[in-house]
Amino acid sequence: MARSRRAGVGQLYLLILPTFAFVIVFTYYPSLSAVYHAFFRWNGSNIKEFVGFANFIRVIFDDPDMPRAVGNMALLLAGNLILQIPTVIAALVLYHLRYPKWQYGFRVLFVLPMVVPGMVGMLLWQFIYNPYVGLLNRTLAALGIIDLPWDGPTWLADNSLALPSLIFMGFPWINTIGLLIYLAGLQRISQDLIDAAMIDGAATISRVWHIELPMVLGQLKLMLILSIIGGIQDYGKVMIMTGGGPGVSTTVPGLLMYQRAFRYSHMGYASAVGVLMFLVILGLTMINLKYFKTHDDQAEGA
Amino acid sequence: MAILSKRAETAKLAVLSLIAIAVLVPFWIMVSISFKNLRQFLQNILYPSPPFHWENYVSGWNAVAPYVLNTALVAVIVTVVSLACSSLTAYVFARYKFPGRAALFSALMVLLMIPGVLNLIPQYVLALNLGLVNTIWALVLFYVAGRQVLEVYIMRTFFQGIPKELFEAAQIDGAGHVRQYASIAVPLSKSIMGTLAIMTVVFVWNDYIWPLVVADDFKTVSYGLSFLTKQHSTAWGSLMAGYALASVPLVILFTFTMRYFVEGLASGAIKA
Repeated sequence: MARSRRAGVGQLYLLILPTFAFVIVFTYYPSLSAVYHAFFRWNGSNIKEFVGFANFIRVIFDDPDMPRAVGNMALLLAGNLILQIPTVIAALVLYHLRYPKWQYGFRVLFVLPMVVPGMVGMLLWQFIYNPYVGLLNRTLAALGIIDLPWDGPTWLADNSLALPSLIFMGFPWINTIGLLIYLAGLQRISQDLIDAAMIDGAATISRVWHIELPMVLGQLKLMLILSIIGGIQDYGKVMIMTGGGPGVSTTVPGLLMYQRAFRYSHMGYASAVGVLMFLVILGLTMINLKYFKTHDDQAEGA
Repeated sequence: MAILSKRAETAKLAVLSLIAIAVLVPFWIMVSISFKNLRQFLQNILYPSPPFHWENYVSGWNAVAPYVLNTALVAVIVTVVSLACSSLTAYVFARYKFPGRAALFSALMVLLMIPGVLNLIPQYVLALNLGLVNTIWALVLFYVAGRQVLEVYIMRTFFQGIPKELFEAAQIDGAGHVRQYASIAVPLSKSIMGTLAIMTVVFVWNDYIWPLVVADDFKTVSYGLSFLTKQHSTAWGSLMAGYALASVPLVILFTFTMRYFVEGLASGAIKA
């Protein structure tokens, strides 16, 4: 019996082996390799020379493009955070609609951006910004603000307009997942609470302010932190829309990492950028975990 | 009072309608342009006007078909292999106590903290050294590994919710670990596995940077579309038709599964 049980335990390790094999070879090993190679001058193959912290020091103090990249990232993040507001407003208005049929209909419409591949959405915005034939300049021309579409701003190709254009894209900035989560939260508000407010003669505005907004706020915080953590490492959008240009006017740290690695084969240096980004994200995650815990406790205590 | 609330209702509908229109404009423009030739495109893009150039959809399909088929193939293989591995692992962690269980589970979960940016470069070098670059396997193997942690986490929680008695009854009947997994755990978890499968398909459909790095000869949809956009000249009609066609599979997938997806999201939000 004991023997067969031990055989049974052995079998358990066998059953989890495929997962661990995949994860060790294709995730664990690369992560350790990234940290290790961040201390080397490394081109990915034959050149490999230990340089200590030199890569990190260069990333932080000596990379001519890094300050701009970090600044751009901060602006993109700030834009991202502010632009969560329309989603909150849409969720509140949607929640207050009297007829469930309308509510359902609008929910379906707002889900559309999520079901279309993200790449298609971005390429469509690239077209909207196209200075010669794009929707934006055609509209400006039709309104008489500019004479001809190609007299208008070049948007993504313009030194000072490229970054604002990146922030503005996605108008009206409805974040589908956020919207669905806020709605789920609002629908959780108990009818008793609403009735009590009504009996007290609370106006709609005060109901929104005192009951519904606090409900959404907890979830909004989560969305904000997720969007910060996601925003720090996301450079796909910048890469597709502007390639970081013109010049370095829209570049971000992740894109610098990518370019240093795949354009110039500075794999060690790029690994150091990756490690630093990892540390920043890790720090934020830790703060978030700590902060969230106390927030939940307060909510329960209240 | 009634008049006031009616007016308020109208105002709400107006606000939401404006937002909805703004959300839909890019997609409407895409459909509108997809029926136009160059001359029509230069005149007006706000709505389709006859003659409708359906042939754009033929050339559009010819352009995006390889990407769509590549992506479908990768998505199917990744979904099957990753769910097979992760469901077994999740089942073992949910159901059995064995030496090293907690440590192994934490070793897996710690990977949730590691962002993709950290791994990109060494993963590329690894794929290069293994001779995987520009083959389907560079996508499949790394995607399967990447999906494991989340899938194990979600399915373990699900399996823990299955009453123990079900498994114990089977055990008394002489069913071994694998048998209990296959005849009890898997049939009960079809919906959660379905949700995870959809998430994997969406992920593969939308991933851009990894295919860009390793799959030049095996482009998936996102990389393929951006590649196509850089190549194209003035064939705006077929380009937009291509965008639309590359979106159709995901739209269909979501149309049929959105209910489950939204429910899952809602219940997840409530738990959080």
